[in-house]
Amino acid sequence: MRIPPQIMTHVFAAAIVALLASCGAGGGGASGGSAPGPSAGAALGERAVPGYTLRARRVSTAADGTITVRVHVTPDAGHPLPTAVTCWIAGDYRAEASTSPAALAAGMNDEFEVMLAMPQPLPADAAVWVRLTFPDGTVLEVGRAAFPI
Amino acid sequence: MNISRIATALLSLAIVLATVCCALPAAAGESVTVDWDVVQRAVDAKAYGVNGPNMFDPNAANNATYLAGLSGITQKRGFIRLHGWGMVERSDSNNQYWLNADGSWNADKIRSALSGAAGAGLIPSIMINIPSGPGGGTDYQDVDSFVRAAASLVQIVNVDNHFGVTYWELPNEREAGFQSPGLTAGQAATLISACSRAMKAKDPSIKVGGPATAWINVDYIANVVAGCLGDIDFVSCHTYGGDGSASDAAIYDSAQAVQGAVASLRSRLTAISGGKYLPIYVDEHNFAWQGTGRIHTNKEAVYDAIVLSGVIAGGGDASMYWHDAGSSMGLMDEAFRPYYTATTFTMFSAWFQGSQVRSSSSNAAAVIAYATRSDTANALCVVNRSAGQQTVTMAYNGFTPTTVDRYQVSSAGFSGPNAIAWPSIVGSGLTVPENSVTFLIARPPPSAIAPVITAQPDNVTVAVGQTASFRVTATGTPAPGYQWQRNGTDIAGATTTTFTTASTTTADQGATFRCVVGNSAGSVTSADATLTVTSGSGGAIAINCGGGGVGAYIADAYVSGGTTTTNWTGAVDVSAVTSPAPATIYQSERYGASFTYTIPGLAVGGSYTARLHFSEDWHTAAGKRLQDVSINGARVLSSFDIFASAGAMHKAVIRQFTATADAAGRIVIAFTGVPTDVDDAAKVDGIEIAVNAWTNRDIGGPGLAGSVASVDDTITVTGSGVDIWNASDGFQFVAQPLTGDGTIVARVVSMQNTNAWAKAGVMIRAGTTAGAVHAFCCVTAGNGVAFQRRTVANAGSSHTAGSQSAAPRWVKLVRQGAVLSGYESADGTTWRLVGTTTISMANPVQIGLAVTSHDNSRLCIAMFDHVLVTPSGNG
Repeated sequence: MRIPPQIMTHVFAAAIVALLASCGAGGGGASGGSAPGPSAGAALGERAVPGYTLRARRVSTAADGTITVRVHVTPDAGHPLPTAVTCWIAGDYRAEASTSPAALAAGMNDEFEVMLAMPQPLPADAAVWVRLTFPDGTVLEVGRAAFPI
Repeated sequence: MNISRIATALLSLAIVLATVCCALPAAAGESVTVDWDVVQRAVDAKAYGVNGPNMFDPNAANNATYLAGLSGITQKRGFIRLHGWGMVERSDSNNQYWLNADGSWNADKIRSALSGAAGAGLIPSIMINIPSGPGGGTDYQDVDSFVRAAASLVQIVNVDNHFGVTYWELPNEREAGFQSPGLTAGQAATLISACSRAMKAKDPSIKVGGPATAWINVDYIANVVAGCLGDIDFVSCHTYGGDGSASDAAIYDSAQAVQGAVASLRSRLTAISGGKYLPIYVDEHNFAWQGTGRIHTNKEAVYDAIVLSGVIAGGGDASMYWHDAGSSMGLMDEAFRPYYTATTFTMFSAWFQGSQVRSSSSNAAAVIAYATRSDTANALCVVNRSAGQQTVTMAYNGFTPTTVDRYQVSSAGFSGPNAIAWPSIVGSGLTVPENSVTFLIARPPPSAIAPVITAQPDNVTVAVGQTASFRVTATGTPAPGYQWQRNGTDIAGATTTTFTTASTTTADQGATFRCVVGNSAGSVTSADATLTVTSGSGGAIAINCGGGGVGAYIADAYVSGGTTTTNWTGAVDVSAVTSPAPATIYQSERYGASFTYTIPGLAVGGSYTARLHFSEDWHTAAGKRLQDVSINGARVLSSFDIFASAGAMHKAVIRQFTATADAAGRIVIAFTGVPTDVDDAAKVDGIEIAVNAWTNRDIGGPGLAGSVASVDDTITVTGSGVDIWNASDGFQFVAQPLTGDGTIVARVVSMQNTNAWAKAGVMIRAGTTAGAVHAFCCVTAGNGVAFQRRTVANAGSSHTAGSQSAAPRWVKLVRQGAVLSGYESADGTTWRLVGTTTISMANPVQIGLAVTSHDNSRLCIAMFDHVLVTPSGNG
């Protein structure tokens, strides 16, 4: 039997995430409170990479600046979909970037959704970076010039 | 988890009866003492974990919110135990089953379920429990069936799909006396031994443990271990607070009893294990074994904190909450939003690392203390399990913080961090609300550590006129300062990690440079590095004939005969030549009936390019000055007429030749005037000698033969080939060997669009086979700039997109140890990183220009200029 979540619990959960983020102890990833912002649905760009075309768009912006981004992956003929899609926001390329995993969007098999917190301060030329990973070890990365925010 | 826990309930009741007299309401005025210098034991980074049954379901397992929640709760450190009875079903309502209808594992579903964890970096935390064989019912008693299933799962997870899951556990709460029919200790040992051997035959790197008993059943576990000691790597058991109707005090008592039970188990294991250390994982615990209104409240946080700390204090190695999300017992709700009580786990994993130190309280029936010390924090957890607020007197021995960050889980929710001055706590005590968990986190000030030099300055060899750079790398706390010395004397202003000389002269030959590195804890002096000044740094030199040093051109040197003059200070037309020298070079000259430049210090037998710069500044017509030029005795110019070649005065002419250094490592260039009716003097304005180590070849058998040609500074590379991508390449490669670190820069001036993915750029490659590892920074014909690489020979390639720019575009590739970084630039001055990778390549590697048409039936012509290979000289 499941006890329904209490409203106050969710308030606390949101507070936890904010507080932990502020103290550097990491966050739990609560996702409540998203609401469309002025840039809802804004296309971020399109870019071809070997075997694929990627299109990214920002579908919502939460009050705390967290954005929800969708990445549509169109494989060329004979190319498989990636086994993992991860994203992050940065200016210049950083091999050690801390990434967030994107999950298949509801009802989609080639579109991935991820929530990304805006880094503070926002770096110059900030962009959504996308990394596709394949079982054979191939990695495709697209960022700075392709999906600026 | 099993809802039938009669035995555990009886145990809890016994504990209640035994301890009820001790669980008196606490009075105010309790105290806590921490001895920070008294280390009790190391804390495993995975010590504070959670069960993750939702991860069996590919939908949840690839849900970003779920993975973010787990990552936050465990800090990507604590264990995540994949356990659920649905796993060994052929269907279930939660989509957690991993079996096909025929009882075999569903490899696709397993791969999908674990991919999310892999992408989130959680695999090192994963423990997979196999509760039963695939037959359902009581098939855990069918050893052969269980063994086949366990080995098959390892094959799918680690061998076929390379997930690398280390921790494997079996069975789950199947002990006789708890289950009927259950496994005797001997049967459980036989099962674990047989499975462990079969599973390790698939992947020897894994660790296999069990028996995951329903409670901390010391005798049973000890008997299991005795029967499979050689095959078991860890032991596991569960504990629950009781049923939902038990009192708070009874459940807290049961939590405190965990420490003693684990200590008993540790003692028994030590006695029977013959020196083999077996970690103890209490891999299921919760306030109760069914829902209760107190789960997800501060009272559960109290219970969890007591168990998490008690397992470590008792000699255990990890404990794991039942379970991750959903139902009445998850740390997150169905939408994967963490309850505030989950912060208890976040706090433990974030801060309670390193070593457990000694702590005590005046009344453990009211206040429980747990403390750890690591490089990043001195962390104290104070649990108030009483029903009243407490003011706790604090004593720290061996460490006195200035301030502490206070976090708290109470009936008011989670709060923190709140910075509190330590003297105020000592003076007034620490106020802890009823049924609360308080965390005091102090960051120890970094201890002063004397500098240690981690990279000494290298000896440097440069040509006259070049600068020389020395670099030292050191660690120390606080950050050390630097003072460079030349021949033992401080150099004013040379106070950073790198020192660069002014343009060198022959007077600098043999000078030594060292660096004194110091901080408040001490100082250390680096080794001496010697500066060697040569004529050509092993191959490259430029001379301003008849003049002083200008840029890379050194002052006139290595010459005999002739006279110098500067008879023109006006403009020089360089429009007809590529890569001209600076105009100043053409204004001064050496002239005479005969004179000879002897360039020393070159590689014996080395191939070089000699570029001779001329401009006629005296004669006003052709036929007035003719000269012969020979290199190492071979005539290369006969009756050469500068005016006639240029067509005008003050107009640059360049002649370029290939030359081989002689047995003494020299190139000798002799100029001889041919008498005319007005003059018999030869002249030259500048000389460049550059290493010529380029070779070209087709890689991977492209459909059409490639080629290379150069005119002055421009190199034209023509290449065919399917692509530079996937597991093998087809292209034209113009390269030279490189030993050690180095850089290649080039501007892709133009390229044909034989395909949008035709590529031209700079490459560093381990060899010339089609599947060799490499890094490649390129311009494509239609898809912008990219940094591509193959990090494993004959395996797939990877791609990082740069700007969408087309040629002309500058590209650069830098090798520093195993790290290769690609850059792009619009002007050759301001560079932006495109991507980086790590590839270990044996020396020498091949460094150069690569062109592919991406079409085996066509050739792509690409033009490069400003090509420059710069070895770092550390090979």
